[in-house]
Amino acid sequence: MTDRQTLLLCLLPALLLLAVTQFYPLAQSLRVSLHDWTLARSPVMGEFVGGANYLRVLNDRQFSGALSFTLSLALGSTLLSLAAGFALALLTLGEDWRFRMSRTLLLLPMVIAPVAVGTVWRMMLAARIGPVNEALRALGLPTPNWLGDPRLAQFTLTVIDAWQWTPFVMIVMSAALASLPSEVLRAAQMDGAGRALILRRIVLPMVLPVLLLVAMFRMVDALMTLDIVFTTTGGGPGFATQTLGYWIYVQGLRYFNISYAAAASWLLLVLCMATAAGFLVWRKRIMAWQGGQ
Amino acid sequence: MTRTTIMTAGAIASLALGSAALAQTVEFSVMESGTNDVAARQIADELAVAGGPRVNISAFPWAVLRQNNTTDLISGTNQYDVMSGGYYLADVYAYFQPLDDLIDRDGFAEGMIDNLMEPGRSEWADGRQIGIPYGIDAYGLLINTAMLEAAGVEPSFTDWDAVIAACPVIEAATGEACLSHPTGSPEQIGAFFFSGYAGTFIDGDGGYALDSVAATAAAEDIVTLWSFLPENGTAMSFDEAHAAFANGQAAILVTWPSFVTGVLDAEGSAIAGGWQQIDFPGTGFPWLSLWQLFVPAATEDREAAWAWIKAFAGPENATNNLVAHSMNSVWAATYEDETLMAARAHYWPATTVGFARAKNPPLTGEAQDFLTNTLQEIANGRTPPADGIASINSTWAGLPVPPPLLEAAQGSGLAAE
Repeated sequence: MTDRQTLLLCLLPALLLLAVTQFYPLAQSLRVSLHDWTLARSPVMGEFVGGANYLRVLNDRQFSGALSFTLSLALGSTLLSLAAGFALALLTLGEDWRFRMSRTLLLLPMVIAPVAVGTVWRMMLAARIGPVNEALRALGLPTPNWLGDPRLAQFTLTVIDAWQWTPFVMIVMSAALASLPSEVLRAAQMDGAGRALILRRIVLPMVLPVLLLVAMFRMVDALMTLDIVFTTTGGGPGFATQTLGYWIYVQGLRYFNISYAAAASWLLLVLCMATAAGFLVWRKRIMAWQGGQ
Repeated sequence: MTRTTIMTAGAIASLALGSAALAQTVEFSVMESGTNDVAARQIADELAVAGGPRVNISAFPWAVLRQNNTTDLISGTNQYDVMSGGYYLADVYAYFQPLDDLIDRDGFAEGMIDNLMEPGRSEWADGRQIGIPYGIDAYGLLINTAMLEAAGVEPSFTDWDAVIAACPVIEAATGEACLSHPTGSPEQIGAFFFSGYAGTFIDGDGGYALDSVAATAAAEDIVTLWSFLPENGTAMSFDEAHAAFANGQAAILVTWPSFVTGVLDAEGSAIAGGWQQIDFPGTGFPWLSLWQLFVPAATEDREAAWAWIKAFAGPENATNNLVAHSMNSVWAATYEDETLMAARAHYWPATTVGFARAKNPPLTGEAQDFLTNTLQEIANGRTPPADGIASINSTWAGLPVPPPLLEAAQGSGLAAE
C-alpha cells in the first residue's frame, strides 16, 4: 500500500463521519429548498419549484431587514470585540500569576452558555426594574430603554454579543503576542522607539494575519447569531432585532415553512462562505506583502 | 374453589385493577401562568389519590407552549397526551382527534356557558369538535377609581378615542401615567387592534385581508395610546405592567383580567378596594382567550386522556379553580352563585359582558405574528400606520387561511360575504 493510500484509509472514518453529519444534511437541505413544502400542511415534500423559494426570499422585506441588522450586528460586534480583546491581551501580557489569573477571569463570559447570557442581560437591562437602570437612577443619570427602544435594542444586542466573545479575541491575541520574537522588540527599544511606536509599527503588522483570522471567525459567527436574540428581545420590538438566524428559525421551526427556511439558510451559508473567503484572501495578500518586505 | 381462595383472588384483582388505573399516565402540556398550571397540579394530585390516571404536568410560557405543542405534533414525537391551547393551533388541527362522541356519551356540555362549544368559540375541524374549553377570559380594562375620580373622568369608555381624550386629563390631575399594558409581550398589542378595528379579516375570496381605512385608523389610535404609557414602558413584562397599576403608577390597566384580579384583591394589595373593571372599549371585539384541551390523534389511551379532561375542565373543580387560581369558569352555574358574585361585584359584570362580546381573531400563528410585529413597528414610530397596514395586507395575501378558521370567521362575522 502506498503512502497516499494509507493516508486516504486513515482519513476514511473522518470523511464518512463528515459525509453523514454534514454533507448529507446539506444536500437534503438543498433538495428541500428546491421544492414547495410546509410541514404543517403536508408531511411529504411538495412539487419541485426550482429557484422560486430563493427568489421569494430575496424579495421578502423581512429578509432584507434581517440581513441589514445582521450585517450591522456582525460588523459592530466584530470591531468592538477585536478592539477590546486586543487591548485586554496587551494589558494582561506576561507570565506573572496576576496576569495569568486576570486572563482566566476574563475568559468567563465566553464559557457561559449564550442562552444564559441573553437571559441574564435581559433581566439586568429591564428598563423599569433592572439593576443597571436602578444604578443609573441612583446616580441621577438617564435610564435608557435598552431593549424596548428599537435603535437602542440593536445597539444593546451588538454590545452583548461583543461582550461575550471578546475573551475569544483576547486569548488568541495573547498567544500571538507571546509568540512575537523578543529580539525584534528589544532592538526597537534600543533604537529609542517608544511603546506606541513599537505597537503601531512592529507589533500590529506582525500580528495582523492572526488578527484577520480572528476577525474572520468572529464575523462568521456573528452572522449566525440566534441565541441572544431569542432570549433578550425575541426579534423585537417589532422586527427591529431580527437577525437572519432568528428569522430562519421562525420560518422553519415556528411556522414550519421548511423549504422557505432551507432556501434562506443556503443564502446565509453563501454569505458566510463569501465573508470567510474575503478574509482569507485579504490575509494571504497581507502575508505576501509582508514576505516581500 | 374455597371461599378463601375466591376472596384472595378478588382482592388481587382489585389491586391489579387499581394498579392498572394508577399505571395509566397522561402527559399534559399547559401554560405556565401561575393559574392554569397550579390548578392542574392540584387537580392531578387529587385525581391520583382517587385512583385515576397519573398526570405529568409540563408547563411553559405561552410562546414556548405554542412552539412545543406544534413541534411535538409535526415531528411525530407525541410526547403529550393532552395539550392545552387555542385557535392559534389552527395549522395543526389535523393532528388532533375529535371528541364529540365522548362529549355526547357523558353529556359533558350540559351546564356550560351558552354557545361556548360552538364553532368560532371552541375549535372544530371537519365538522367535529376537537377542543374542550376549560378557562375563559376576555381582554379587560381595569381602572384605578380614585385616580379617575381625581381627574373628574367618568369610568366608561365606548371606544379608544374616549380613552385618548381622557388620558391627558388623568395625567394632568394625578401626575402619573394614564395607561399600563404588558408591552414586552409583543403579541398583546393585538388586543388594542382587535377592539379598535370593526372590519373583517378574510375577504370574499377567502384570503386574509384588512379593510385598509378602518385598520389604519385603529393603528393610529395605538400610536397615540402608546404615548400614555409609563416612562420606559414599551417593554414591560406582565408583572411590571400589573405592578405599575397596583402601585398607583398608572390609572388604567389593559390586560387579561384573570392574570391580575387575584393579585389586586389579595391581602396587603395597595389597590384592594380601589379598582374596578369596566366594559372594554372599541367597535371591534375584545380578544377572547378560550383555553381548550386537545387530544392528539396519536394518544393511545383515549379514556385516560378523557378522564383527565373531565377532572380538569369539569364543573366539579370550576369554583375552586376560580377562587384559588383565578381561572374563569366555563360553567354557567358559577356566575349564578350569589356569594361569588358579591365578592366580585367590581369586575364580574364587565367580565361577563366581555365574554359575550369576545371573539377569536381567525388568524394562523404566522398571520398573527406578522400583524402584531407590524403594529409594534407602527407603535414605535418606525413605520407609518398606512404603510404598516399595507405591508400586512401584502404579506397576508401569500398566507393561506386554514378551512377551520375560515368556517369560524364566517360564523363570527369576521369574514366578508
